[in-house]
Amino acid sequence: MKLLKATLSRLGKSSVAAVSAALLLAGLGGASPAAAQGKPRIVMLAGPQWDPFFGAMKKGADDAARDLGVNYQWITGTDPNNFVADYAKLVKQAATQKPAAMVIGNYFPDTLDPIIKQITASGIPVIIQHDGGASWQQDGAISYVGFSARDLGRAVGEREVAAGAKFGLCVDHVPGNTTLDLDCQGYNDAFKAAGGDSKVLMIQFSDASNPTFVVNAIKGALQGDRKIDAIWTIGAVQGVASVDAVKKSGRKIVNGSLGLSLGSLEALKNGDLLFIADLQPYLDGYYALLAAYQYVQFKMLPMGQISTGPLMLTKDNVDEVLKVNQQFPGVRGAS
Amino acid sequence: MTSYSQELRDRGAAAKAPARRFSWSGLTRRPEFGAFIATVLVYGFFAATAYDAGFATFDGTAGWMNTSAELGIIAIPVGLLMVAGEFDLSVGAVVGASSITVAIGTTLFGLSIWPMIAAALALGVAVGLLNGFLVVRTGLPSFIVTLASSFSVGGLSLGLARVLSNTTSVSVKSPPLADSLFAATWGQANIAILWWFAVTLLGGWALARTPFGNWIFATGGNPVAARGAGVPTGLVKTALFVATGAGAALVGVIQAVEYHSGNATAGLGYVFQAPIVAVIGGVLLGGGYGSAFGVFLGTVIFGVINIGIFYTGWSTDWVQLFLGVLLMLAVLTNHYFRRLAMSSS
Repeated sequence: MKLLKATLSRLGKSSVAAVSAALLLAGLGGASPAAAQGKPRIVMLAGPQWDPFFGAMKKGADDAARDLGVNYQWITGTDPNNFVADYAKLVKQAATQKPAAMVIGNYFPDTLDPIIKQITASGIPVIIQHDGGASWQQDGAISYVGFSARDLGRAVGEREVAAGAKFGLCVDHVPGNTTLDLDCQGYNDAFKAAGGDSKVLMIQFSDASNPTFVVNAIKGALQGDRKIDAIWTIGAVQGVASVDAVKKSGRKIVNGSLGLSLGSLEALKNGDLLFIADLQPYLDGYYALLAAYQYVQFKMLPMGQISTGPLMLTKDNVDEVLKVNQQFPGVRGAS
Repeated sequence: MTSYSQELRDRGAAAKAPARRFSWSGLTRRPEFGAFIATVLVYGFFAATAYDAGFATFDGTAGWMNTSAELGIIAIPVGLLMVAGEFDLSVGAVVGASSITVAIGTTLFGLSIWPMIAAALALGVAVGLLNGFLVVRTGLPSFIVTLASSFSVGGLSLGLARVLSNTTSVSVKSPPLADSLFAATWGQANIAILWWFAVTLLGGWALARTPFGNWIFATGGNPVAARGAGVPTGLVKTALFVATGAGAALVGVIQAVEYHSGNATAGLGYVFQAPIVAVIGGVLLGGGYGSAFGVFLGTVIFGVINIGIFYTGWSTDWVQLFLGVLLMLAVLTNHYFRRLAMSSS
């Protein structure tokens, strides 16, 4: 017991140290060329770096910062087990440094809406990016760069219904994330409208990047419910895994994904995937920083919101994307 | 000194004795007995509930076994390390680091896969050596040391992957020989299952049949007495840290070849799953007690529950609750039989 207490107290201290070290490193990671010193500082808070999706987003923001010579900092959480709370703290902390503008990915509106309201009320211009399209105006943000999750889900579902599907399986690998919830709700809307139905398959976040686990989970779900004739995975790792799972189940399934990797693009080329909804995270990063910079510098703003996705990738345009992916690894996601 | 090592030898002989002559109390006294009962119950439950979905068929069995296998390759050495009284939280980071090492070397630099596999395994061994060195030299809890190395290795592989390739996930091209070693399949069963059996047998043999195994028990049971009796506890711990690093790196290589993709962040789940299955399999959290076969059964239970639930067709919102309750029951069964064993001895 004593040992446990001692361990816990040391663990507490060491995790504080680790978090501050991580913050320091995250700060160092931001592109801040010497030329940008003294320029207004823009902070971007976004999703975790362990997801290649956000890697592409960071690449976009890094490129914009380099092209524009902006003094910018990229901030994200590092602990997958406590991401919501950590992320909320990071947002609050970043605001206390009074940056010239903030770009915030609003992944958890229930938690973040009140925080963002406070920040905008304090006079810091905020651009909401990628998630949080439903509440950006109420939060007092000046613009939104991203997509509508529910519309995305609906568009995807309609595609699968058009391909003859009646019962869909929405594979959600980030339990508790409202955007993925909305994705799956929109997906369900499309199936319901066509007289069918869909259900959600939850995969715990810690297992989401374990392909063996995801393959066997999806295979199990297909075996366990004979009604399922369509799948939609909301990430690249899960997309490739679903192709494998469908093959192993021996069933004929209409299969679509979101998020890119070389593996998923090849599956698209082979016809194993019907489509990939590409949210083009690179554009999220690039346009959000661009808009923030132009507002800070010139007080100019695009009217309303900027839609950066989705671009539907199919057999017809996959070759170009593969070429780009080879030439510029990471710009579209995984390589 | 001689008397203590004699005692250790006697203890080893006594532990082996019940295996030769069948006795009910000897059987229930084994660390894995509770886990065995739990395995039968849990498997029976899913075989019955998800029978129509083909859970008990060859392909259905391959489903949970593939998952258990990769977890087991990590959990067996982790279990042995826990018997020696130490933890290793860096295994998850090593899985990701070794898989991205193979991917970046083969795809970005066009190197042959063999030196990259060697490099990936060497990386696991190096992290193990570092963990062992720090734990033995500083005397800090391994919980802290390996947590720090987990952050460091994970952060380094993530950072380097991003610098070199702009992404955390890179594709892997592998020649047929590598495929047959790490990704061969029989029907839907992966070769990882054979690796899992091999690691279990190796771990079981080392723990139960060699002097080194006695050293492990002594190190975890009473390190001061063990050191006094001439057991090289530092060497024992370091060797086991190397084993966990190597096991994790092997899983990274297997996943990289199997899915033609390396991911710097793969393996997150193993950090807690490995110690969990060791405990389900009868390993005492405080060290000094446990068996490799018990850990093997722990991975079976975990795989059956985790994958089995998807075969039932139930709403997966309840998965975690279900897992929690079943795990609790498995550990309680374990605990009950351990107490029974202690009282009857």
